[in-house]
Amino acid sequence: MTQFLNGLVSGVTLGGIYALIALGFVIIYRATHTLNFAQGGLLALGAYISYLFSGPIRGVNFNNPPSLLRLPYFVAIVLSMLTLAAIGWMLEVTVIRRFRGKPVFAVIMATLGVAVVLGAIMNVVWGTSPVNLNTPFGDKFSKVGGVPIKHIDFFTLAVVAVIALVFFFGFQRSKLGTAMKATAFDQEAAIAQGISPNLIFGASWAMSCALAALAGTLLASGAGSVATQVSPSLSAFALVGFPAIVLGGVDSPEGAVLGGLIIGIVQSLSATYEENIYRYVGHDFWRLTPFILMIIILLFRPSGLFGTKEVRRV
Amino acid sequence: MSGAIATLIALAVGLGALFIWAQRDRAHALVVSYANEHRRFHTTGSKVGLALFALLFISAPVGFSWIGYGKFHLPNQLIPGLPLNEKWLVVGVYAAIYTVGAIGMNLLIGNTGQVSLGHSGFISLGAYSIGYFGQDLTVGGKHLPGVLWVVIAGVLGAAVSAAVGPFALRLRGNYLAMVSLLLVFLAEHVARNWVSFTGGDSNPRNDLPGFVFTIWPGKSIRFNDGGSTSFFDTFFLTKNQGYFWLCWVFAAIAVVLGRNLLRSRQGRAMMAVRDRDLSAEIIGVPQMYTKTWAFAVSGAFAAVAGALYASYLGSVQPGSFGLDFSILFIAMIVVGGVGSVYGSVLGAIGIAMVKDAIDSAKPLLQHLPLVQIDPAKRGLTLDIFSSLIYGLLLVLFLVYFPAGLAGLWGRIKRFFSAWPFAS
Repeated sequence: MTQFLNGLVSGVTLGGIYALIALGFVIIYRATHTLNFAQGGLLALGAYISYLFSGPIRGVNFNNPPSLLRLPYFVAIVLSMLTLAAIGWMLEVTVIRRFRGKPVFAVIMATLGVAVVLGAIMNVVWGTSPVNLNTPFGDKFSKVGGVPIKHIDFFTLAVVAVIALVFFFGFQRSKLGTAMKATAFDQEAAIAQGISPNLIFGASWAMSCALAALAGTLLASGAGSVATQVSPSLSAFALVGFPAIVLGGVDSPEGAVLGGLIIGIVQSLSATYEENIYRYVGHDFWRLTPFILMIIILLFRPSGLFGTKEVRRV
Repeated sequence: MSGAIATLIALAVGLGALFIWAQRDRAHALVVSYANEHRRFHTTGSKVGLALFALLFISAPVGFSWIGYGKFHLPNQLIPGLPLNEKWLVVGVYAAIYTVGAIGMNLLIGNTGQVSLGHSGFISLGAYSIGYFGQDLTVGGKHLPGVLWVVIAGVLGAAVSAAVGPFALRLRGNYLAMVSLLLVFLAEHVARNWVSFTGGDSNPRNDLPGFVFTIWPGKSIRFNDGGSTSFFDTFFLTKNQGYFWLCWVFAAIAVVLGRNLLRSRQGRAMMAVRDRDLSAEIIGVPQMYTKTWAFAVSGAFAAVAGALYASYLGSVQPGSFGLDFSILFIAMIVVGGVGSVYGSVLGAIGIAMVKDAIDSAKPLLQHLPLVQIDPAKRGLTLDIFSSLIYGLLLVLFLVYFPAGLAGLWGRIKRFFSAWPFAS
């Protein structure tokens, strides 16, 4: 039972992070009908930039992974989100905008190209050896009803809850949020109402990248117990955002959050019970469970839990 | 100086010849009926080009590295001063293997419009199947002959890939791309965990079998024993020479199959599904059958490419066929030309040359700022440098030459054949 509860707790935390990633995917998808395959690179970049602002001061020399400032962890997270938002906006203006209206294939390839470039930049600046974030949480945990819960997990859940509340009850009712919804619904009508689609697309990318930075930093701080350090391999976790958005419906922010939570719990539980199942399905099967769940859902409910049903006309 | 003038004169003569030819061929290129449109060769130029290509293919292993071990000792370099050595044969072998895989991918993505990133999964299936069928399996105490296990790999690839086809019925565009990611991860998971078939992490496949052709009782050619082996006790073939011929034979078969498929009813059905699957279904093109068929053909080609690749490299381990490998093939078809068999060949040769250029420019590259040869250190390692180059090529071609090298060639040809009437 404790084992189950342990798995559940880290699953909910991991799910919260997947919810952030999936929300990022959905925001971009709703605005530009693009799947952002570069989200993984942006996630890792966000974690590295948090390290840049909060890590031990090493200065820029070419023997150590550089970190510039030694700001408090929470300030570093905010700065990293802002930096990534700027980078995201820039990406949309310089690269993605050129592929508007091009076939799906071209857009996917363009974002993959961005991912390659981001990977190269990270390898040049920080190298492949993982670095530690300067978190105030460490490995500390509190027991709640006999189940040890790490402090970083509490923090992550709080952050995810705040983000979700602000997004659904604050942002979506704000002027920009309404404009985004309008553009997603009918771009031409939105333009006729005086909404600039360029602004909307840029803002969507900025928001999505900021969420990626947050998710990456939380993952690298040890939330969900799947990673403990900042490393290029963090980018693999962003791909799990795909099953999450498929589960919830590609164009539904609520679905993304719920889908993320479900995927996180399923993945965490399959990792918890690894020793019971590996004889049948092999080691590290938990890396695959989200994708297998995705296939099953796509076969029975192609538009996800909350997605709008696609109507195709000849 | 005189060399430069000679080059210029040769260039001028060549361009002039091309120009006259194109003018002569103009009437030839006209399409007057459906049968006419689907002929194999549209111009005399393409026949001559193919003949030249075949000549190059047959003579390359001999010219690039002369058989220099047997009774007839001939100089290793036929023309002194030209960089003729086995390096170019290696590039040729990779180009041939890539050609097989790229044609398969192009039939699926370019002609049927199913964006799948799972190609490397099928390549790894082919690669591992030769570990089992070529190395482990013995029939009556003997190993299976080379050509047979390549065919087995192809059939396996087709069978597994055909199982993906029905999924493509419900999933389109972005969704299919997401689901196809699973194929890459699944292939890697299987490679690590199905130890009896793949060897797994702890026991990666080494010394994979080469091809053995028995021509005469007791006389056979082996291609994979590192050094050279006798061929009628007279000539000696090195591994690269043997593989060059062998792989290009497979590439030629792939080209012929791909071209003929696209000329056939099935090929037209594939393109109808690409352009709009719902409309295609309404005019009587069975969507399920066409998509499954496209996946099966593509998987078969990928598995054959994987089998050749593993047999040439001689070893295969989990982790060698990731998403990067799929992206490499996507770069090939984008550079060559999406939806064109001819473009797949061009792209495969192009990417093989770029790959080799990066490898051989290693001593120069390390003087560049940021470039790092040691893969464990910080900086642009060669892996990342090359994927950066592929990514750059991919994006540049997508933006500026969406039709790829094949389309570029078409534009040049059209310019000459339509001259003075169009620019």
